Amino acid sequence: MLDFAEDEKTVQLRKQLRGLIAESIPKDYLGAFTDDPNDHEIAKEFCRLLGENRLFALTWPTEWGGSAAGPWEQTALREEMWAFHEPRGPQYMGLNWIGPVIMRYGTRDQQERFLPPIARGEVDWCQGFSEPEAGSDLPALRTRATKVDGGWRIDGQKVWTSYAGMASWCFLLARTGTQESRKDGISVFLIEMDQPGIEVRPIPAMIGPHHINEVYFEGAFVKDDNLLGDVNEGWKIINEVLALERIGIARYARCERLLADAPAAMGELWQELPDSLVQRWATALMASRRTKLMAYSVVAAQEQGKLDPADASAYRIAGTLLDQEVAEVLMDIVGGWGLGTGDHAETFMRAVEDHWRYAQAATVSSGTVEMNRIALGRRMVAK
Amino acid sequence: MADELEDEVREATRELIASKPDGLVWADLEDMGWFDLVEESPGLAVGALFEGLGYAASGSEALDAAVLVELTAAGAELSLDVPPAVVYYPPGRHAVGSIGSGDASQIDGIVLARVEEPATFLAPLSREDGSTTLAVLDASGVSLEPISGVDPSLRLRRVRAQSARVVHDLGVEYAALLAKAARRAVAHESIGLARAILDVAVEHVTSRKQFGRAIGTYQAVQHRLTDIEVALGGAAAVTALSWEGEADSVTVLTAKSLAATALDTAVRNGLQVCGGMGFTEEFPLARLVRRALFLSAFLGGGPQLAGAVGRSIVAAGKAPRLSGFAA
Repeated sequence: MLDFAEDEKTVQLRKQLRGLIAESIPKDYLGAFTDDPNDHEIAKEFCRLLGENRLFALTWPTEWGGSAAGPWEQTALREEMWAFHEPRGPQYMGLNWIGPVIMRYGTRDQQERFLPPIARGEVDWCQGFSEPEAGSDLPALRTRATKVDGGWRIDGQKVWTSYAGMASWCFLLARTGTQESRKDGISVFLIEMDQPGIEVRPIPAMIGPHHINEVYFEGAFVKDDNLLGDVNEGWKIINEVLALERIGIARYARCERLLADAPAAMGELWQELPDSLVQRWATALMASRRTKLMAYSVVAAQEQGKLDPADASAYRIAGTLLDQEVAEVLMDIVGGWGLGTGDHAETFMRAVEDHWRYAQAATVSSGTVEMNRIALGRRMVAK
Repeated sequence: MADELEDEVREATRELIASKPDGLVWADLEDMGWFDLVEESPGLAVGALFEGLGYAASGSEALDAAVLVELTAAGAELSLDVPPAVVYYPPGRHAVGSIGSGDASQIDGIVLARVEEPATFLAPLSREDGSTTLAVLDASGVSLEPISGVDPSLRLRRVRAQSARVVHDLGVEYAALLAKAARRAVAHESIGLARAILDVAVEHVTSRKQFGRAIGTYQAVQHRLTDIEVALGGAAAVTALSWEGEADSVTVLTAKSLAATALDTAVRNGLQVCGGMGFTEEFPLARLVRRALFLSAFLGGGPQLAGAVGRSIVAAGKAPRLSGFAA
């Protein structure tokens, strides 16, 4: 029987995080993905603040600037951040999966160069995975790394790259084997974004500004020292990154917060909602909590070193579908402009709209729900 | 014979819509002879026009025309030469203001009419007894401002007034008729739009290859498309039925509810099978999805109208059979 009651340390951590958010994040903040550069600045400043309080690289070993906290404190941090629209901006990528795989696969020199700046929240990362012809079929990627004197020359194109325009480093997958080598001919490079051979083009999209970009590599250079792991051995690193990514975002936390906020934001109009909608609201709230429990089971398994990738897929499927169902329910609740006036109502409405747009891509980005269903399904029928 | 006429009308409508990228206005409908056609065969005229508009995701003021011809055909004294601008209610409401002794007040609604400054408005208003009536309002003192929603190409305007002079109170039957006519036309439009989304999705999955084959060869992808097709087929059948004989309001509510649900399914599944591409502005889906967000909720969304159908059935004490054989 698993007991998910929080210990005093975690309870205090939540309190401290909420205090910091209340102090330094504006009430109407909706994350760093906006047209207002100030929103990205707010995220940077918040990361510095977390750093000062030793809350930034919470679970990292003290050797790399962390506080060596356990997985449950990390879970609380994840939830509090996502519930408040991820005020760390793109930093969660460096902290949650790029940093950890550098710890695992990096050379001592790479660890010393890359980990401390990530732990201090000083550097934005993006990840160069998908390509126009390699989405769900990631092993089909074609971006080529050619050996040159002192390093590698990179040519190709990446797509759907979040934060590419803000990032100074990219966690890049490139082909070092033949095209037919698929998973056995891919290597991981840590490449600097600010160089003449790299061009970032934002892709205007309905999910909002800065979410997705194309990145073109034409004769870009990465030095030998920045190859992560061995040549052609990138796929096992990718698998780890994808598993960490799947459980890295506490989508249910924002769902639960917005649902819980709805009655107060709607004011008197809440009483006029049809029963069927109030039922859907309550069902969605239950689904949020159910998904939270699935997340906790995954964290518990991870803590015991028994994480089955199929369970991570199951949780990911539940979490992304939850995001979408909650988006629909909230949209139906706020209606076109059925909302009352007042700052709280206005902020809530904007948060719902933002959540709706982001949720639409939840079952597409970082692995489609179909690919996760295939992974889980195969596992279930495997002998 | 009838099929040939239908094909001809649909073709002419498509051409007309394609020739007016800024959206059809009243005069375009006059030029194509739509007002004559709607007298002869209203179901065909409204169905072809709105399914065509939906398919092209074209903005227009055609809904006013569809509503006003049904009202005048039923005997409402309204001018089609200088038509009033119809005020539609925002989602979740059934009136755009209230009417007391003489004046209308608290007007807040949506206008599709393109004419810069309409002389009069036609607005459903709630009475003190809770019923909804339809009234012609004088436009003086009424403000119109553009709405910057998810789909600016609709050129919606929000109409507001503290109070407005009532020129003519047409009565409650006409308010019900307006709701019925507008929802039926929007059901057709939603069906055309869902069909357009499905066509884009089918085109994408047959050309996009992953793992060395078209993604449309995967059953998981096919099932997403069949779910749209089934929802669409059911909505189209009920919407067509709503033109048989005297349309009861339950059938029209059902049609709009099913059409909105089909549209929601088309958006969800269409976006899913088009993957990242589907979210980009340059891909044809984005425009259609923006329109769908509005159209699905406009005049009531799927679940909301399903609730209304349920209340109507309970109040009437009998359920329509939707088969054409209802006793």
